[in-house]
Amino acid sequence: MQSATDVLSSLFRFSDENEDDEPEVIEQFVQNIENFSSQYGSEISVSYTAFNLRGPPSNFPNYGDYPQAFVMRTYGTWWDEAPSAQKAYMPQNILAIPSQDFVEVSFKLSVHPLEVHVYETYNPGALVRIWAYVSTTNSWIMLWEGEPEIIGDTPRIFSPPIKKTDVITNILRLEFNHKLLPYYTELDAILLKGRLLTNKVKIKNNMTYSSLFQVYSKPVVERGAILNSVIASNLHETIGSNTTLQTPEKKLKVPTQSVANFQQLPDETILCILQYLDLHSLSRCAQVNRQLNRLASDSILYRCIDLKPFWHCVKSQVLTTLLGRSKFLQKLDLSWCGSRNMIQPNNVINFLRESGAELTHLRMDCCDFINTFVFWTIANVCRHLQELCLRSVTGHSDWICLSSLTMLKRLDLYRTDISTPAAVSIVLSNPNLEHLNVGACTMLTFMDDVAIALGSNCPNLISVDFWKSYSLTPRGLRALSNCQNLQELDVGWCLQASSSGEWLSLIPGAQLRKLFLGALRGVCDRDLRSIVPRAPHLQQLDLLGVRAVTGHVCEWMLEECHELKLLDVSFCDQIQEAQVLEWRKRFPLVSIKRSFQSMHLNSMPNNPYVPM
Amino acid sequence: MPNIKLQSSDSEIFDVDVEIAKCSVTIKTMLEDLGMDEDEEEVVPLPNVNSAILKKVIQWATYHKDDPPLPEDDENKEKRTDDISSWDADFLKVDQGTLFELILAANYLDIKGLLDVTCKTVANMIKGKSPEEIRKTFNIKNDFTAAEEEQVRKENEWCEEK
Repeated sequence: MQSATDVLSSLFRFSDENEDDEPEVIEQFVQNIENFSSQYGSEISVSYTAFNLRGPPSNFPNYGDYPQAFVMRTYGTWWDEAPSAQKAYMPQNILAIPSQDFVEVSFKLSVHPLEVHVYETYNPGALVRIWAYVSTTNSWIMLWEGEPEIIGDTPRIFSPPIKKTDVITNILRLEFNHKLLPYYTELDAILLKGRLLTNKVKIKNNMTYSSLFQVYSKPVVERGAILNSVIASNLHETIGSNTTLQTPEKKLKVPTQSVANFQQLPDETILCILQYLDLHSLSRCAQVNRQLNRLASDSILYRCIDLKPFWHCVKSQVLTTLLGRSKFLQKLDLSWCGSRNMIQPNNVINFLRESGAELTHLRMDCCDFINTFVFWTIANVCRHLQELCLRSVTGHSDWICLSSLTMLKRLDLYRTDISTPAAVSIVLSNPNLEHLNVGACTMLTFMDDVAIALGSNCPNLISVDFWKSYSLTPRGLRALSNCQNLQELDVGWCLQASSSGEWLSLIPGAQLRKLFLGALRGVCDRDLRSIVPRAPHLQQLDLLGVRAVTGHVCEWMLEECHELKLLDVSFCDQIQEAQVLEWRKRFPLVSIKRSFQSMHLNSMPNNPYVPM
Repeated sequence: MPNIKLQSSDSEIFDVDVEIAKCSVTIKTMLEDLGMDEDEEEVVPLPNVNSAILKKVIQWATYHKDDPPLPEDDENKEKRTDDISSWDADFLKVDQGTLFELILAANYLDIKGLLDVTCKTVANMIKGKSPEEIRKTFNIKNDFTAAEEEQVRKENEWCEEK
């Protein structure tokens, strides 16, 4: 690792082509991590964390799995296929290019962005959008959007063509889509190249910062540009030749042969059409005429509201507008919204007070506006909640008030700062709990108590994620033996649980689909043999770093587990590369994962990759 | 398979397999309520559907006769519009008037699958368009006053990038 002074001194690289009249162009690496949605690493070490995006690259041009990079929690579609998968509340709102993760980074100096270079050092290709934050207008503009790609086993500096813009920014947000990733992607650094706004230019043009922005803060990217082109291409086919995108004027003159036109459709039927529209299209319909305004604002269309795809433009005013349409609201997703104070806590509180009483589902992942009062409002108003997701919400001590909820089936508290008493109390008041995620909750210092509460109180438990729970021990895990419906168990990096894997013999296997045992070094062949024969439906098995496991038992599992789709044997020291290659041929239906570092590749024959 | 006769609004008679006709809940209910005997030569009048549209409806129902029933539960209904089968997409390459008449017919005859796919097709024609483009596409008159239009624009412009 580099020392801090190295990092700081190399944060800037001033280009030397500064003419007198030319504003300076500078290159900067990331100074701070502002926010992110997930990371593979834990809160107590820098390995594989977002922190590693700071400063210049540490690994590039090496290719492979290195702890000095930023790694996100998931890859591929495995998590979407697992029993704990979360479905979108408003599928019609899903973007043409969805994203599962983001990271928000800041740079020391604000610049007019010219280029963004992303150093990808393992499984590149997942970046799909780059946003820039404009502080003067408190808004985000999209600099680039593109499809995820399969790049192959090679490092790259990805420099997508970004939109020309005259706004200035020192904050970028990057969104990622993991669907094509064969394994975890790793990011090493992000470089922002941009022009400084010099005093000289300001004086010359007699412009202040604010007047510049008024001139230049026009839309840089048409938000629905990609969607537009998709739909437009479709339209040629769907509407025939006498309806007419290209010559709309004609349409007005030529009397149509048919009796029906749009406005003759009954309200009920128009609502039937509008229910397929995303929020953006509905907002546009509401501006067409009075009839469509009335129908596109009808509460029947707003039973499920998903604002996550619009995180970049949702301000408090949006909640006010939607309030009038939310009489029947049942599901609300505000995840990722409200960064940079774009949403005030009071607006959320008012919204929930007015429309939250019937809510059954609520997601507020990574929401900065959550404070104690928002917690209290959820606890006191949203009494029918069956699902509550508050991933990455930290800085509050009042978690325990959520134990007034009693109907929860899903609770996702990944990377929050909930305490043990609060978590135990919530679990005890929600006996119908089916899905619990308490991964990477560093304040949960007695995870055994949570596991024991689950085992004694939640017989319907389907999935539980203890990822990186350093206080979980075999004592807590043994309590899960009561959860006969258990389909998914993630105990990756629960290092205190790894003294021995004997507890695996007590885990109910009949329904088990997914078992993640990453880094549990005490688990051995015998432990796997005690559960695998009882788990006929096992589909995903992560043995990353389970060093004691041998090739024998893996081969046996590949033969015995007929539903197995994913097997991760990265860093399983007793398993040879050659074995893995052979298994991949013999068991083509199983995706067998094996991470690598380029230094190891030197000794690997027949590998096309040559380290640089 | 027994057939029944359906009569369009312009008096054309269509001889249709009963099982295919029954994909219309309206016809199915009518047959059950009236206890119509399959041997009878009775004609079911459909005064709200003309022959051109009825012909299309029968064509659609015939192709989809073996489809599994759609879920009744509206909550779990697929709200995406990019899942229209290529056969349906081809089938719906018609002028707007026909498309709307198909919607009205599907609504009247209570054929959920046809109503869904026609509504999705119209939804796709709306997606990605500005309010003015929507007006032009469907020949809709803007009847807002200037003040109303400004108010409505303010309320709804949030997802337009500025």
